Amino acid sequence: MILQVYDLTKRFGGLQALSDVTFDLHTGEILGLIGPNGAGKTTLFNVINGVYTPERGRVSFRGEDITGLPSYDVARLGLARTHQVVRPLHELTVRENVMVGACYGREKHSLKEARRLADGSLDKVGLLDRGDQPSGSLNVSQKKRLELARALAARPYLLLLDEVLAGLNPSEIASMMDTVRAIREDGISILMIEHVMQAIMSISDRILVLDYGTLIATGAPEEVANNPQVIEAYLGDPNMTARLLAE
Amino acid sequence: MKVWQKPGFWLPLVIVLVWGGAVLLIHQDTMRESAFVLLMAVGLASSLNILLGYTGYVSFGHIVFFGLGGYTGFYLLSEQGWPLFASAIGGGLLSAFIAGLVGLAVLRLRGAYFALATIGINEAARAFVSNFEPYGGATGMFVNFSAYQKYGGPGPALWTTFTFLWITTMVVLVASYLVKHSRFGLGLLAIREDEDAAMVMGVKAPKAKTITYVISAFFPGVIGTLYFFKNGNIEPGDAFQLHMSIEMLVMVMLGGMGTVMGPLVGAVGYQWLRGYLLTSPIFKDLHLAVAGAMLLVIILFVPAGLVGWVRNHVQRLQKVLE
Amino acid sequence: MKRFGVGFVFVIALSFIVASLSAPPGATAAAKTVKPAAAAAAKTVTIGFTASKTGKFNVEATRQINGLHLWMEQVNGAGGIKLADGTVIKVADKFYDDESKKERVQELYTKLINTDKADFLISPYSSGLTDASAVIAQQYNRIMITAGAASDSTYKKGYTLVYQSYTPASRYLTGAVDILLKLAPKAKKIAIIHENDKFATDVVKALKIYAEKKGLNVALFEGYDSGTADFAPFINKIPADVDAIMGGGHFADTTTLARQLYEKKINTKMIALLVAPPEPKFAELGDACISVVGSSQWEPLAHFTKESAAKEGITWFGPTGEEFINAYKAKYKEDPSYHSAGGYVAGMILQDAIMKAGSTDTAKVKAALDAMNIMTFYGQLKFATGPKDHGLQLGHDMVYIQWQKDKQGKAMKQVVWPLAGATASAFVCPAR
Repeated sequence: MILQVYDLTKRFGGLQALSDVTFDLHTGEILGLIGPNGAGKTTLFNVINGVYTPERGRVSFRGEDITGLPSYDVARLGLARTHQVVRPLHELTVRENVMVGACYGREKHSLKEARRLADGSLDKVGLLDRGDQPSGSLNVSQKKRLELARALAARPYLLLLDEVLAGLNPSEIASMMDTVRAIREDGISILMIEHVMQAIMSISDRILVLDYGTLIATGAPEEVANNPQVIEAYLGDPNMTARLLAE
Repeated sequence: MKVWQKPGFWLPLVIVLVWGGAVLLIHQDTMRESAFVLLMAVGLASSLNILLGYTGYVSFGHIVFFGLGGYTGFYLLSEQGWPLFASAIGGGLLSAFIAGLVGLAVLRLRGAYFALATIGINEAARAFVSNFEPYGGATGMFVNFSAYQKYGGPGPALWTTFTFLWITTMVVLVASYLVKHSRFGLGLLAIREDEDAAMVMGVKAPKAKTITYVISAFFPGVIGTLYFFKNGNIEPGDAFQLHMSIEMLVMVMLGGMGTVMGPLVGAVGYQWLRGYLLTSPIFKDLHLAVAGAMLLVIILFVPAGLVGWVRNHVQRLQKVLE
Repeated sequence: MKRFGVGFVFVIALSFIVASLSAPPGATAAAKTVKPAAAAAAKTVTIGFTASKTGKFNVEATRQINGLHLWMEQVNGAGGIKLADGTVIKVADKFYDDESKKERVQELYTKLINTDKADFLISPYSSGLTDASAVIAQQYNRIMITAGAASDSTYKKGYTLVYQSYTPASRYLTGAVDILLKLAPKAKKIAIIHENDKFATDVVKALKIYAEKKGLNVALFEGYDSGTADFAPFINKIPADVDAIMGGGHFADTTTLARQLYEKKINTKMIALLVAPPEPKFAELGDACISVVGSSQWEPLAHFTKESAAKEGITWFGPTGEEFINAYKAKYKEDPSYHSAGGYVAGMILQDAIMKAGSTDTAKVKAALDAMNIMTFYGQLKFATGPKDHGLQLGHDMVYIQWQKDKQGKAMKQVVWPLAGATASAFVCPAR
């Protein structure tokens, strides 16, 4: 068990963003997280990695309680993430961006090793030839890959991916999916938020469904897709389920 | 590659080394005075740049460290009889210490809030010193003319002060380069670009910012001691002048923030321009207006600063100008 | 980069520029370098100084320079300074703007001495800037006459070539104690409320010592921050039975203090304040200004004459007060203030010393300055020569004025002290 989330609750003023969210993530697993817009998916990420402190509940990572730890401490324990809205460090080059991940991630590399490691990650996401370019000059798909490379360079045990497929065209999606699979092959566990249904259904070992801050279903993709509550809350149309599972 | 082989490292250093060395060799007083004003500006602007340029935090009241450090160094020198060198280091250390204390609190603030807080710190320091009797209260302190005898009379004393300032300036430039090109500096640049994203990547922002604040406060303290020793007296009104803070900011922006060379170019350019306008028969009544207009043009049309502009437009110079 | 920060810097930079653009350009016409016509037999000495043509000291410094330039024009117009050996000395000047800031003062004075070959120096306006320039003057063995630099500390640093034309701050208000004791010999208690800056603090520290020496009890001694506008907390602390209230600081705060003392109906025998009372604008306070005593370096009303000099056995030098006032008005179309007189007198001091020395040699002129004891329209001039306070002004005294009512009931200034130059006698503050 790499991540255990127990009874997590987060409130913003009167808005209940998360209520009593409990789940486990097994080592080596790809866990998908779906739910309608505003369901609290990104908030869940933010609470897990320390951007927000929960009102109640517990997050433990590799057996260690990390509830309320600042995000940089969480990162150093080996938990990396990407952002839904890409956040490249604009005035730094692509390589420097990735080096930040390597320097300050789990293995705390020196600049020299970080450079080597960064090239490795860039190669993995297919951005090696753009290393010297300012990161602000990349297009959306490349920026998504940069986010991924940056997170990988931290050599994390667990990767939180926040909509890495959004805004990509079908061929880009396919290649990103290959990248994600390759990452799992390297032994990194993954928790990913995704709206592109076919993709998430095909790649995930299990799926979590969040609605209004509450976990309404957990299970294998087919189970979840056939869960009436999920269909009502999110999928709406039973025919759509069939389409999803057709892939 | 060793740092010595990188032009970005040695170019600014060599410029200051040759410049100060030439002044010492030629040994002409007028030249020394002009060089003192310029080197002081370079030192102050470069210190500010370590914070402003690398973390993006706009310290508006940075002159407080020049004032507090200067006051402390001056006190050690005139009241405790410490030698100039030790006093200057003492002044720098006090500034650094205060920055450490204050930094933990104010560096939580971002953007304009941080800038405003630093102005508040400057005003608070001024009010404190005005009522602090060991530092002379509202009337300040002075050194007796005979204090210069220790250094062989006022002439040699001013040369000694100049030499210290020259060395200090080079140390600031070295520090600036080393910070920028270290693992630590990479973290700072990440903070500058996106602090939250940097923290998610593992950069311990609060600690890194505080350390940077401390570094960038140390040198103004040293420079303040040298400056006030040279002037022979210190008063609250001279030590905490907000306009000097603003000039430091302008110099950094003029030269290009976040570059090692930028503050050097910006400070020399700004002070040279001011000095030229001040003593030119045509402009001497208009110098502030002319300088102001030029600054406006530069800030409007060359926001990256002179060095930044050259770096962006001349590929080959990117490795030369850091 | 954080956009917020950049925008903020930009706004401030912009306001900085706007502020610099709107800074007063200074009295351009009056500030042109005055160069005498080259005369074959004449030797020209260059007088160097910095002037605060921009910045906060602009007004005072401009008047000071106007006074100095009037003196130069008169000396050169009269054919120069004629020495015993027949040499004629003409004077020229060279000056730069110091922006009312200390940063470049030393650089500019070094330039004046080395590049512009200034033979003699006049100080910038204000004690702070003078402190910076004095180091340079002493270092290069140049005589510097200070004007507008009242602070005592400048002359206690061991300089041997710096001479003060103003009455030092330590004697700025001590005469008020003398006036009080003459008005009310039984006076026992005074209250001192002062601005917490260098100048006012220097003044009141000396005032307190002097008052205590004269047997007075300083019942209240409080400093307020520069820019204070509400004095109620300080006024409320004044004991009911004080015989005098003294202190103040600069124009704005002192004027407010005087008004609030009146509004709160504080009854005391005498109110003596710094800086503001001699200014004509002080009359705008109406009844609140009546009976307030102030000290000034010089007043057009004050009468120092050849006769009064002869009576005290001191040599008279230079024009009469009337001559100076008329010449100044003719040239600048305004009344001279004490700053103008200070600038003019700084020149006169040099002139007298050069004449007596019969040379422009620094050592000889210094000897003449050390021995100087003259009476001028501005008052007596004599310098301390001991090692502890060399160059401190000893001869000159403040002139004390009091706001009184003339026959029509209009407020007007009268000189009340020293008695030798008085135009009216002082009176006790009426009940409010």
